[in-house]
Amino acid sequence: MPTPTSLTRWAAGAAAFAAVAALAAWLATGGGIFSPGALHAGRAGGAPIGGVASHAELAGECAACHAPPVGAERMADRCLFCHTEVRAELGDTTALHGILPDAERCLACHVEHRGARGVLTEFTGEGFAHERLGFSLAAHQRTVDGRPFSCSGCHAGERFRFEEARCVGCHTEYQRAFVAEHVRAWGDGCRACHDGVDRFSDFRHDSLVFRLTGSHARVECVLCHAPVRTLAAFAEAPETCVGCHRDDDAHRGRFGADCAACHGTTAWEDAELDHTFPLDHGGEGVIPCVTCHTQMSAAPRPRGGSAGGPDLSGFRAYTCYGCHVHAPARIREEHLDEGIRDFRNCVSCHATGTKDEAEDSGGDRDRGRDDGRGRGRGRSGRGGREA
Amino acid sequence: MTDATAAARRPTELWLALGTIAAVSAVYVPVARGGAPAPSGLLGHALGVAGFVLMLFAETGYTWRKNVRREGWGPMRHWLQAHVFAGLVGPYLVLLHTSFRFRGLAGVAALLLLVVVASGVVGRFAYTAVPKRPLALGETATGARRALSVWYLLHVPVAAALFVLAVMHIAAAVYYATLLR
Repeated sequence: MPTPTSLTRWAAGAAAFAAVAALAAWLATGGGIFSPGALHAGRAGGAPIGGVASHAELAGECAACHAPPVGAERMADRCLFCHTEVRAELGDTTALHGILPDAERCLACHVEHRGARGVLTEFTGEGFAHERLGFSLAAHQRTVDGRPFSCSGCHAGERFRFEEARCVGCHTEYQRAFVAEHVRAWGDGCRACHDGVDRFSDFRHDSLVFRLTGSHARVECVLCHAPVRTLAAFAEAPETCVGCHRDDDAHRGRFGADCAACHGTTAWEDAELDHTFPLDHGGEGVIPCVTCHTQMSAAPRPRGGSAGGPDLSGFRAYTCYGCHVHAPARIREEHLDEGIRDFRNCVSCHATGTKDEAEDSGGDRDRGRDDGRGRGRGRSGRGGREA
Repeated sequence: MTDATAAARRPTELWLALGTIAAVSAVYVPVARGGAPAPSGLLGHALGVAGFVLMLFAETGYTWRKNVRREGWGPMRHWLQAHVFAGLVGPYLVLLHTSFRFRGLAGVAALLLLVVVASGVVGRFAYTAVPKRPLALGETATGARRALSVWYLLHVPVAAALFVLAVMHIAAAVYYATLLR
């Protein structure tokens, strides 16, 4: 057994040998023996950066990245010296490095010496305002199966590029039919409408001005909103009947654009004409509209005619002289004899056209002049013949 | 063999060390499920520092006690037990600190670490196998004692070399990963 003294000598000798060998290796490798791992060998693509195609070409040149401990220069300065594309992003609030907190501290996110194919970025996302890039992560905290999202889940490839095919790919996994139909209808430019704020999952169209009642509740969105491709464009959808139904108009525009005067939203066939004057007046059965509404043309209005507001003037005007043989001059004389100076609006006194109706209603003999107002839809015209 | 001698040779420190290693593993394994923690991370650094402190104690404490032949520092047996405990748990922590990547100076140090621990385990059993009585006049050393003499030449000098490399590794880590950032 060696004596304590000889053992100490052995130990001291071994320690000295280790120190000398390590120092020699340090000099021989340019500090490489202290490298905790191989540098990344991946190529960023394009032209070399800082004269090298990858960090791996800097192996043994520690000082290429490690700034000396004295002086104001830091390692990040050396990063940005070569990575000018990142340096350019620092002042751009729409770019990744322009909105990262403390973006000039490269080592807060980036690592090295993790091997030729090791990771270069360990980004936790803490404090990162992703919504400033136009897409909030409010609705993307966890995947559908409960796992937290990772950056690479949406950003594939270099420099966090985003491909919207990722949206479609993930959402198709659990909404296959819906996504297929959604993409067919609206396209695959998801971010044109979706900004990550979960405003569509509980969307109710009835909260808008145009409520989807009747058959409107069953039609596909694109029938009114095509070919919308942006969120703002949704607001530009037509809000009038003729905006969508001009080509469906069986009246060819003759009844104007106030469809709701007769039609509801369930079906065209359920139209209810509020014709206040009896249509069977005189026992003539169904008679042509132009019998009373003489200003209406029997010929259809050409397609593409004016749709600016109701065009019911032809129906609002009517004349009783189309059937009644009374000459206007005689009617005038008879009414003036009765002290009725306003006789142009026949239905104001002869509301249903029945005999003695005017006398029963008491007549407004003292009315000095016609105020020109009807008593409701269909009565606003004047009873006298109009030019 | 008396009961006291048997108790003294019972490898209590081995079981304590294995229990501690199991406890550390119970914490480490779930954390490392997504990949071994980087040596430069918080956990990696903590493992390295704790492991080095234990190894430093293992390397110096027992040797110091052997050279301080005075009363009041406790029985030598306890110091050996502490040496074995620290010499097993410390290297295990350092092993976890490496994140199982061995290269450069740190890789060489890890290799020496393996040699020191392995020789220490062998020495622990060789030590207990050697009769404690002194050799009689004219008596030749037994095979176990000859082996022990070789072990001394392996375990202690390699541990000394390991200590030097560990210090250089720490100095380099401070220099490159702290001062040069």
